This record gives sequence, structure tokens and C-alpha cells, in this order.
Amino acid sequence: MRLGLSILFAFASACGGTDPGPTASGSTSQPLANEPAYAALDAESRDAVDRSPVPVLLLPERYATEAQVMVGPRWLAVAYSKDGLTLNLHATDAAVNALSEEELQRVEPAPHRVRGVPARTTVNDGIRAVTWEHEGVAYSLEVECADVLDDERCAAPTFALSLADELVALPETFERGARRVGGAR
Amino acid sequence: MSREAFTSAASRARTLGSRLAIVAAVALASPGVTFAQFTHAEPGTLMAPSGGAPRVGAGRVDRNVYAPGMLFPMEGLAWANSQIYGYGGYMGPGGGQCDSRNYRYPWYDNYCEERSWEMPLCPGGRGHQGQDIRPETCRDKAHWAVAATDGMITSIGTYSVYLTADDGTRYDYLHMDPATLAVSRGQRVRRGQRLGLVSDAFGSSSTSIHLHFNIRKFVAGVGTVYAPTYMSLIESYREHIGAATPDWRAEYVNQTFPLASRPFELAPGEEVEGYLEMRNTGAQTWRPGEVFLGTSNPRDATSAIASAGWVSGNRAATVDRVVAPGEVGRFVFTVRAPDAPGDYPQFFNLLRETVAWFSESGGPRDDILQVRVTVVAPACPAGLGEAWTCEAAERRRCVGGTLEREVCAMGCGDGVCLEAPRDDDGDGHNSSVDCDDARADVYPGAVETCGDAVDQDCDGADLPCDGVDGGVALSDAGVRDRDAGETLPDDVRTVKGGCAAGGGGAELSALTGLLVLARRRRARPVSRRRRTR
Repeated sequence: MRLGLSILFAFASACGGTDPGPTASGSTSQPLANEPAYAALDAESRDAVDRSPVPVLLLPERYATEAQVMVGPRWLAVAYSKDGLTLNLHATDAAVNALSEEELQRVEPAPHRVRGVPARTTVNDGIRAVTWEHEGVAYSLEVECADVLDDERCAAPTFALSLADELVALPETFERGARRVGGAR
Repeated sequence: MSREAFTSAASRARTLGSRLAIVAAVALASPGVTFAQFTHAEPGTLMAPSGGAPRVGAGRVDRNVYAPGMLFPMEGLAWANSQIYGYGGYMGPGGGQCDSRNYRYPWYDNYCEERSWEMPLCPGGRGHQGQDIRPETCRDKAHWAVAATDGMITSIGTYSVYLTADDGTRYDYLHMDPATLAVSRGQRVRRGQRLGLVSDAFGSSSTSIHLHFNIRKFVAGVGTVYAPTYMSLIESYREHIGAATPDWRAEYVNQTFPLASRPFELAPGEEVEGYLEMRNTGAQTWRPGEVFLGTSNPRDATSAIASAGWVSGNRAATVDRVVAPGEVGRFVFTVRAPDAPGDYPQFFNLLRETVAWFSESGGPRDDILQVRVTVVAPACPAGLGEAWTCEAAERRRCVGGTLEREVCAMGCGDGVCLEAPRDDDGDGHNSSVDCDDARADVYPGAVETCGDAVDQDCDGADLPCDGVDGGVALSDAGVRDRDAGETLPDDVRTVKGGCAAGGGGAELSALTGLLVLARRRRARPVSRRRRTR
């Protein structure tokens, strides 16, 4: 399976290297159980990873022991909150078609890049967010600081963008996602 | 603004303290006395700095309900408006956050209100996201925020709680009091379950006492965004307060006139009949002679496109039948292109005569329904000079490249409109109806000969030899064009026709998949003749 994944990712790289998943984490050769960010999760979270309907990205290992993974029929959430810092990763494949083609053409292109793909950032009542898409799944990483005014991690998008690049992709879940997406096409 | 009635007796009783008993007694005796009206500004209408006039369309005008069926996320009454432009806000008209004027209707949208926050759905690419909602009163930590839907609490921050529904929609609650949260991360919650108390919590800082409510969705083509929340809140609030259905409310269904954004070019004096269909979404039944389509924005102005068939210059039509709530009624009327070339936009709205305009009851607004006629001067036909020339029952001339026409009610002779009808050709049809009073074989009802370039039966066109004389079958009038579709032997290319029987042809011009322009041949040949396109 790992060989298959390697071929898949090599192909993706050859076609522009835009795959934002496992290649970005550099962990494609890691069996799931050996991935520190996964191994550090509690059993309930690991179980949630196994049940995830979308490809899983995890917070880096330094956050893992405090992180909680939750899943629903169409979504994944990874939450962390400690020492005045709250992180939340949200992923879903349930898109709503709310904008006309006309309006979509007017929407400014995403100005940033994370994990090799275009990304948007914003802030909402002090909560920083970075969003991107991969294979029909929308990811959103939010950073909230207790010290709303002075915490550097929320004062600028730098931290959120950097953390998004650091997220750990779990190859097996991406393979599941690829199968699922492939089957749907 | 929309209005719904709701019971506010309990709310007012709390506010008035010792007058509780008096208010309650009044409520029991006469409920109407203590009812108030829920009103809200339209989506995209933002409050202005220093209490200035609301800015219509300054925000995102988006009527999508992104979270249909959600529960209003707060117990009690609520007041959606701006925290910065309201009383006590740093760009507001002064006062404090507890000013009673912050705790009244109408609601205001504050999605896309001025902020530096990037937001691709806002007109300027930046703005406030979500909606700020003040609780029923200005008491801190006194009013519960509740789960808008079944789901899981997927994050609890220092001043945020995220609730994720099964479909991936996330509902964000900001500024609840962290010390009194009633839920924990990973907990499944039920719709309506209490989550926490609305407060001014804002991490190490503080804000005004309000709930900042987001709906976070994956919008195709943009990615995960804070979706416009306002309409979902309005829908859910109506349900929440048990608002009564307004008496007079309508929703657009269909129209045969082109939409205002589409070209609707007519020649001067040209008349086009069409209709507008509206669904009765109010509580009252519409009856002919009571519910009308009136000119609006401004209301009651005499319309430049009114035709003789209108009820009056500012009432295009009354509803065509008795329309019970839920049914669709039709307003049939004819627009007449003014004589001068130009653009003639005309707004309409429904009204219950002497009772209410629908915009004051349940909608639509006065600036929604529009027929926009553009009058274009017809080009001169070749050979027409500056001298008046008779053409059937009108006269024409060409001045400065523009075709001028004048209808002659009594007929036309030698370029002059006759003052009394004549029958010069002695065919028994005088010049007021005879489309060629110089030919005895031409008159209404005459035998039509196909392909001879002569309109013997005065129905407006010669009969082509494919058997179709002029228009197509007019099924909606209930009279079939007797000329239409008949197959004629090659040697007998004549067919009986006439104004009464064959004059009902309609030309259906499908301008879009949705819009159909019906042009009815008028009973009098003159109207047909006036069309040049």
C-alpha cells in the first residue's frame, strides 16, 4: 500500500506538486501507528481518525497530547486548547452551491498558499483562520488567543499559515479519501 | 422592513419591574395592546456611524438561508444590530451599550460591516463576519445561548464555542461566559440545549454584552467561509417568537414581461399585454377589486407606461380571481410605450386598497417588482418622405430619419385623418375598420388570398401559402386562430378569416428560458398596424 501511495504522490508531484497532503508533512513512509502526532492521541481520538470521512490532518506532535479528534458523517474536527491558545482544525466535504457563476468569477483568487495549494486567511473577532481545499474537502484552521490584543500568534496570520503547513497528514486516510473521491467520479 | 407580531408582555414586565401586574392585566384584557412588531432591515443594510441613516445595500445583499431549519441560538427576545455603530459603540451616536435604543427593532445586518478582516463575499473584500446579537436585556450572564441544531461541541476556546452539525455546518458562539458554560468539548448536544450565558467575555479583554454568531460553511468555489447569517437568524427568530403570519404578503412567482435587466424595447405607442403572478403568502385572502397592483417607489405616481386598460394611472390591475393563502394570483395588464423615445422603469407592488401596502405588512419591498420599457424610435421605411402618407388606419411620415405615426380613428385619406368615417370603395366597411378603403375586396372578414401581398381580411398580414396567416394559435385566449395550421390544397389557397375569429394570434417571443413576452393582437387592426418590429 505504501508503494502505491508513493507512486500516487510521485505522480502528483510530477503533475505540478500541488498535492497538499502527505507530501507536505514528509511522512508518507510512516505507518500510521508510528506517526508521533497520531501515536500521542488518546484512544478515542485515534478511533475517530479511523472513522474519519475525510482525509485526516493532525496538529503537530507538540500539541497532540492535548488534542482531541472528533468526526461526524461529513466532517472532521481537531481541537486543542491550553495556556491561552485554542486551535481548531475543521474539515468537511459538504459543499453548498450558494454563489452564482457570475459572482464566483468576481471572487478574488486566494492570495496565500499552504500545503502547496492556494489559501485564504481572515480574522474574526480576533480569531485567525486559514482555509484551503484538497480533493473536494475544505480545511479550515483557526487560532484563538486568550490575550486577544497582544499575543503574536493572533496578531498576524503568520502563525496560522505556518501551522497549516506543519499539519501532519495521515497517508492512510488520504488514500481512503482518494478512493472515495475516485469512486465518486 | 418586515413585520411580525409577537408577544412581549413578559419582556416588558421585566423591564418595568413594579408595573408587572398592570402590564399583565392589560395583556389579558387586550393582547393587541402589548404586542410589538418584529421588524428588520433588509440583508445588506448596515447601520451608519453616529446614528446616521441606514446604508441600504452597503453590506452583502444575500437572501440565502444558509442554515434552513436552525433554531434561533438564544433564549428570549434578541436584538441584532451593530456593536460599533449602536449606542455605546465607539462609532455610535453616544450613550452606553445599555441604552434602550439598542434593545429595539428593527434588526440590522452587520455582516460585512467595516472591518479590516478579509472576506471574499463582502463587497469590498473585507468586513465583519457573522452577526452580533444583543440578548433580551443588557444584563450580563443572564441570557442563555442555545444549540441551533443537534451536533457536537467541537471546540471551546477562551471566548468561543463551536458546535458542528452532522452536515458539516459549524455554528460558532462567541462571548459566552466561560465560567458558566454548560457543555464540554466532544459532547453531543441536542437542538435547544443550553450552552452558556451571553456575556462580554473576550479573552483577556472585554466587549459589549452580545453573542457573536457565525455559520461556518464550505461554499463551493470559495472554500470554508463565515457564511451570511442574517437570513437564517430572521427565519429562526420568526419561529422562535411565534410570529404571526402577516396579513398581506406575497412572493414573486412569474411574469411574462421581460425582467427589468433584460431588454424590453417597444416602438412609441406600442402596447403589450402580459401578466405578473404572485403567491399569497399572507394570512388574508385576496379578492378582485380589493387587492391591486399599484405603482410604487414612489407609490401612487401615475405611470408613464399606463395603458387605457388600467384601473387608473397608478393601478395596473386587480387580482384576477379570489386567491386564498398559498395560492397564486395573476395581475394582467397592458403596458403602452410612451411616444417619446427613452427608458421608462416602473416599480409595482401589491396593496390591499385602503388597508395596507404589502411592503408595510409582509413584503415584497416597493423596489422589487419592475417593468422597464425602453421606447425606441422606429426606423423610416424606404420611400417614405416628410409628407404624411396613409397606411391603413394611420398616417405616417419620416422626419429627420425618425418615423412619425398618427392613428386615425375615423380612417385616413390623402395623408389626412378623417373626421368622419367614409366608405370610398363601397364594400360596406367604412374607413374606421377597413384597412384599405380604396379596394372593395379588402375589408374585415374578406376572403384571404395567400401569397399576394394583400391583406384582404384586414387581420394585419397577408396569408402565407403555408397556410398560416399571421400569428400562431392563441391557446390562452381560448380562441384558436382559424388560419393557423390549416393545410390548403395547392389550387385553393384561400381561407376564410377575419378580425373577430382570426384576430387572436399571439407572437410568443422567448427572450429567456423563463421569460415569455406575449403580444396580443388587438381587436382593432390599428393596434396591430402600429407595431413596426
